[in-house]
Amino acid sequence: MIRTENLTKRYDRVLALEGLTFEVHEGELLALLGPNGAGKTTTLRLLLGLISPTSGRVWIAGELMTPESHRLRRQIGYLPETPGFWERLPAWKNLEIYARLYGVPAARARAMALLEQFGLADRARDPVATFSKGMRQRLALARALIHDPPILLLDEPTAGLDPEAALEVRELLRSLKGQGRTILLSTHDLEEAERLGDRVAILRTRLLALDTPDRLRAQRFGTMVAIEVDGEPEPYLSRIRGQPGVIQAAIRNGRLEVQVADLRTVTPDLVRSLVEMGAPILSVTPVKASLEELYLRIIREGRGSAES
Amino acid sequence: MSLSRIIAVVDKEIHDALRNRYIAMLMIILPLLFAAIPIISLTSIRQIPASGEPSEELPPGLARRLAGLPPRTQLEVFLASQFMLLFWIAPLAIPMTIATYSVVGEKREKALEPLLATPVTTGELLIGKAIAAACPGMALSWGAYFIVVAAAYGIHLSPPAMETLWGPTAWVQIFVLGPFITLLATLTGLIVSSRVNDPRLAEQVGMIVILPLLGLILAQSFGILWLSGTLLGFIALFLLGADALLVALAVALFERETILTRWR
Repeated sequence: MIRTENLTKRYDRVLALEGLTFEVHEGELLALLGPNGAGKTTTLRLLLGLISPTSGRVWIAGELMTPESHRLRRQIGYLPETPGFWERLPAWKNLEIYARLYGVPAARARAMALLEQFGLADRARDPVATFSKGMRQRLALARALIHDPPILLLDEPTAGLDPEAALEVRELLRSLKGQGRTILLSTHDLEEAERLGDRVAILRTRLLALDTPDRLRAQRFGTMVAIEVDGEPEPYLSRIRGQPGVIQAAIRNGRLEVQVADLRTVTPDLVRSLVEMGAPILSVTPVKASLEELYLRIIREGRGSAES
Repeated sequence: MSLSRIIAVVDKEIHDALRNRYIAMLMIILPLLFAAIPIISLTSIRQIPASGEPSEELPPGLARRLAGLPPRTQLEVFLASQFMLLFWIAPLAIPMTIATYSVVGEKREKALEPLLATPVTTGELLIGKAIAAACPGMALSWGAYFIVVAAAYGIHLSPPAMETLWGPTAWVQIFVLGPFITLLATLTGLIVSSRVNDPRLAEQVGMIVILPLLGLILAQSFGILWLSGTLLGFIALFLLGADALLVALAVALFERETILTRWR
């Protein structure tokens, strides 16, 4: 649904994005992660044809996107980093104008229906200047959906929101994903990316990683299992290391942490061996590195390779 | 080019302008002022005797042109010709202000990025903004003009003065040059505002175009020149050329990428 090929953007002497090639499949939510200035907003603007790439190409729904592809923009709903409304105009008028710009029939009725759906119907006639940040974000999402687009590009939709408002927006995103829309979500919130994203892309001028969080963990950290025994784990460590399928083992936080080739096949053998050794096992838990650990490792690796 | 998108932009701009107190005040005060000043002045000079010695207070050049007319008629013609120039100020100041606020305002509200993400083209956006900026100034100026003409009939202004207010030369000034001036002001406002971030600065820079008009008013009041049909024709040609140049310039300078990434 969205495809880029070797996308590069340079602002004068500043390289904002380099060689970005990726694809977002139909109905998929791809979370775009990266530090400030990593090129996330630039990527979204390039996908929309708001700015031209220095080199490379973008395809939206199979068609080449350029700054002149005005018609193709009907396929996309966009929520920019700063929502940006006509502050003096009432909420319904903001939405109605956008509906007309997208050629939506019965624009006013569509605007009112979305305000109702997003819980803003009672404030429809108030100027947007009087809205709270959470209300603005909901209104911005309503605006992005005014023409019922199959693709959504969302730039940090929960940034700066209080936890309750952020939760509301996340629920909305979940329901949008459930409707089968293709979503590219730029975010700093790693938990949000993990909960909502089918895959995550980590960007730092270049694309550093792109896969499901679980596969990225397996690539970077391997598959880990933590075994807690009653007493000292030290005597079992050397014997575990020799087990088939064990890549490495260590003691951390008073428990055995074992990196295995495959969790499903190696763990039962490992437990059986420990029982045969007489180890009083209290618990066996698969260990999942947090997305934060994964993100920081990938970003640091990226920095290291860029410096070298 | 989609007419419905242009109308949507016009609708938005007009609604936004009417909710801007500064613009709304300007749209009320200027036409009222430009209707009231001529009516009060022309009514008050009715107290001067209709006949007598020719006025010595008129600029010599103008006095020669009006030689043979009674002093009150001379004064009426002189004032009517000056007031005709006032009807160029509203179509200049109001569109300029609306146009400058329209782009700079959107930049300040960060409302330009989502707007540019819609299927609207640069041409549709500029045409919509230009129509929305130009029409209120034109309509209000013409409204004030018709009120003054009606009042002039009401107070039985002398025929030469009436001819100055409501005759072929006046119609060219109001209905031909007026729109050209409006377009000039609108385009200047759009160009300047797409390059700066402060609406007041944009307005001040844009108001430079008012200087030649003030020059005309002063030159005519000192009798240096008289806005004859020929001179109006030259001014019309000049404005037409300037407008065509500004249209091309406005489209060329309204670079979406530059506005989004640099003029924030």
